[in-house]
Amino acid sequence: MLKKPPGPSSKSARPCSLVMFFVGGRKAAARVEEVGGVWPWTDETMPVPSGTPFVNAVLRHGEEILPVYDLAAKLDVQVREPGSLCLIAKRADGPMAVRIDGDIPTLHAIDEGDIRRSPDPDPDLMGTCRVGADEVWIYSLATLGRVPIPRAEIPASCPAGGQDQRDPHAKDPGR
Amino acid sequence: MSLRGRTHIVPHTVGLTQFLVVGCGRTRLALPAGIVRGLGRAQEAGSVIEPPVSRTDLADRFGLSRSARVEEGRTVLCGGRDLQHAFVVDEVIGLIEIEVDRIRPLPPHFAGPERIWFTGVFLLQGSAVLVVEPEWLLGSYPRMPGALSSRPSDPSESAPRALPPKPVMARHGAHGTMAAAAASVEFVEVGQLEEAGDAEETPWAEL
Repeated sequence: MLKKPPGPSSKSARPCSLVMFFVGGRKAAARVEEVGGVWPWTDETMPVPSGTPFVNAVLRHGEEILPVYDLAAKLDVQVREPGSLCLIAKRADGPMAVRIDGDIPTLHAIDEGDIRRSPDPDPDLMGTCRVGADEVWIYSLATLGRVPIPRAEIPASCPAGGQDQRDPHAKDPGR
Repeated sequence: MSLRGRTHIVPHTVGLTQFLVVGCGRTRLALPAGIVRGLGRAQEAGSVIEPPVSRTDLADRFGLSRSARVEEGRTVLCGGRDLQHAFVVDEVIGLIEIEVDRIRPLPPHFAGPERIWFTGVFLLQGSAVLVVEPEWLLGSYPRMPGALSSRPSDPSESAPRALPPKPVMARHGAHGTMAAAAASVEFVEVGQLEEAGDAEETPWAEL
C-alpha cells in the first residue's frame, strides 16, 4: 500500500476533500469548501470591457450578477461543448462563475499531506496531488484570479477597488 | 396587541434615475440621461449635427465587438457642460427609469480600469446593464492604458497617465436626479437627431 492510513499517531494526516473537474479536457481540482455549487451553463453571459485578466463577463443567476472567470482561456484550452457546466468559485470577496466541461465533477478524499507544492509559480495554484494514476492541479478558488493592483491605478474613492482588493501577501510592485 | 391590527403605512422615498440603455454587440450600456442630447441614425449623423462634433464608435471606446455595421447603427449625441460627442452604437434599447437602490457596484473581481469606466451594474429584463461613468465617457478623464488584454492596444495610449484626483464612483446625484433626468428627456425629444420614424421600434412605452 502506497499511502499510510491516517491514525492517531499520524500527526500530519488531515482529511481534505477535493472536487475534481475538467476544463478543456484537462483535470483540475479544488477544495470542496471553496466550491459554491455546480449547475448547467447558460448563455446568459454578457461581455464586460475589462482590463482584469480573464474576468471579462458577467452572468445572471436569478437576481444575482456574477462575474465570470475564464479559466479555459488561462489554461489556453477550449471548454468542451455542449453540456458545459458552471462551477461557482467561493472567492473571498464574492462568488464567481467558472465555465467547466460537462463531465460531472467528482469528489475525492485525500490527506492534506498528499498535496505537494506546485513548481509552477502561478498564484492560483495551491499545489498538486495524485488522484488515481493522474497528477492533478489543485486551484485555490478562494483567491482565483486575484491580482495585486498598483496603488496608483485605483483611486482611494473606489469602494471595492481599493486597498481591500489587494492581496496582502503580494509584493509591492513599486519596490 | 395584535400584529394583524397594525396597518399603518411607512412612507418611504425611492430615488429614481434615468438612463438611455444602448447595445454594443452583446453588451448593454446605460448612459445617464443627463448627458444625452439627441438620437439619430448613424449614417445621418455627420450631416445633421451642427456644429460638427467628434464621433466615436462606442464599441471601439471599450474594445467591444459590434454586431451591426456602422451605417446600420444609431448615433447618440452626448454632452456635458463644455464637451459634446457623438457615439455610434448598435442599437438603442430605450430610456429607462429605475430605482437607485437597484444599481449595484461592479463586482470587486473587476479590478482594472473598468472600475473607472463603470459606476455600477443593474438588471433590466433579465440582462445585466453596465452604468457608464459619464465624465470618463465625455473625455474628462484620460483614457486608461491597457484597456483590454484581448485587443492590441494603441501604442499612443500605452504611456501611463496619472488619474485626476477626483472621486469616480457613483455620482448619480450629479446626473441622475429627477430634475436633471426630466430636463434631459426634454432634450432628447427636441434634439436635432431625434428620429420620429423609428419610434415604434423603440420600447419607450415600457418606461
